[in-house]
Amino acid sequence: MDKSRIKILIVDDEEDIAHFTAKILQYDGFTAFKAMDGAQALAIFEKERPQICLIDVHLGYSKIDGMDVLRKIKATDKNTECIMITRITDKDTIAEAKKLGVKEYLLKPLASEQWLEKVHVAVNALQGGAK
Amino acid sequence: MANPLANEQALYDKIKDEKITVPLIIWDLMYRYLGDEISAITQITLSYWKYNEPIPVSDAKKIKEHTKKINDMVRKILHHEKIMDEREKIEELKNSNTKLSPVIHELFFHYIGNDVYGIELIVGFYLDPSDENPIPVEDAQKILNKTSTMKQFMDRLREATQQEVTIIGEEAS
Repeated sequence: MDKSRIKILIVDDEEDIAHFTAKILQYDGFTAFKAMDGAQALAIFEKERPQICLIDVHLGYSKIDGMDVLRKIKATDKNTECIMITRITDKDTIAEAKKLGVKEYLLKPLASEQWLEKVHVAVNALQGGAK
Repeated sequence: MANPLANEQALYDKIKDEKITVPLIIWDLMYRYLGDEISAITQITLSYWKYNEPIPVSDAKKIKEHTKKINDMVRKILHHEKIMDEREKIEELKNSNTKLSPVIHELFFHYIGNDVYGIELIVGFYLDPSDENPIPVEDAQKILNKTSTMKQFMDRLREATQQEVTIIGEEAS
């Protein structure tokens, strides 16, 4: 699969995380979008229909939090691969995300390229589904 | 990375033997604020290091801002009784009379404090006002090593003080 055809949405209220994560993914050949709040994330999702979403559970003061974004994305397209970025204290949300079909989690703080490995796992899952 | 403390194993043994815990509210603060700042430093640095490029001055300044926020948060977590802050969780922490065990205090200050200080030194060297320069790739690698060490410390502390948190991954799986 041509990497540039894989669209990835990063949702994180910390601008530098969203911006530089998108930049790394773009360098890596993917088409990446960033959103800093829930409403922006859903608008981009509707318009671009990314196949993979990295979603921070906690979106600061956004009226729509990361779990709302996940629910709406999954309600629209349950095949979208979502990777949730969580904290260790999020056990209830992690359990709910799993019920919604989330297979991969990232615990903040992000360090090294572990998060990118999770993206590649999601890409492989997409490719598996496409076969 | 911060050098291991001479009594590090003894401190972790003490955590285990005395069942020392970290109050949930402090974990929440650590992961909410430190998690974001450390992640931001990682992503900025990685976006250049991964492609063998020096970190430009403009983005080195962003790293510096994130280290300041980490220092500020470390100070608030370790000395929350002395601070004034409007943020809800800090207020909750101040009002809770939560005490951080001296053992946790020592480990936390040593690892997070020293690694953030190390990043500040690297960034500060290249952001000398009289002669600002990009951060070369080899020093970007050192910054990544330090963010990894901070994460490893938080993971190890989480495991050592397991009572509230280690079940999460298993419950999710």
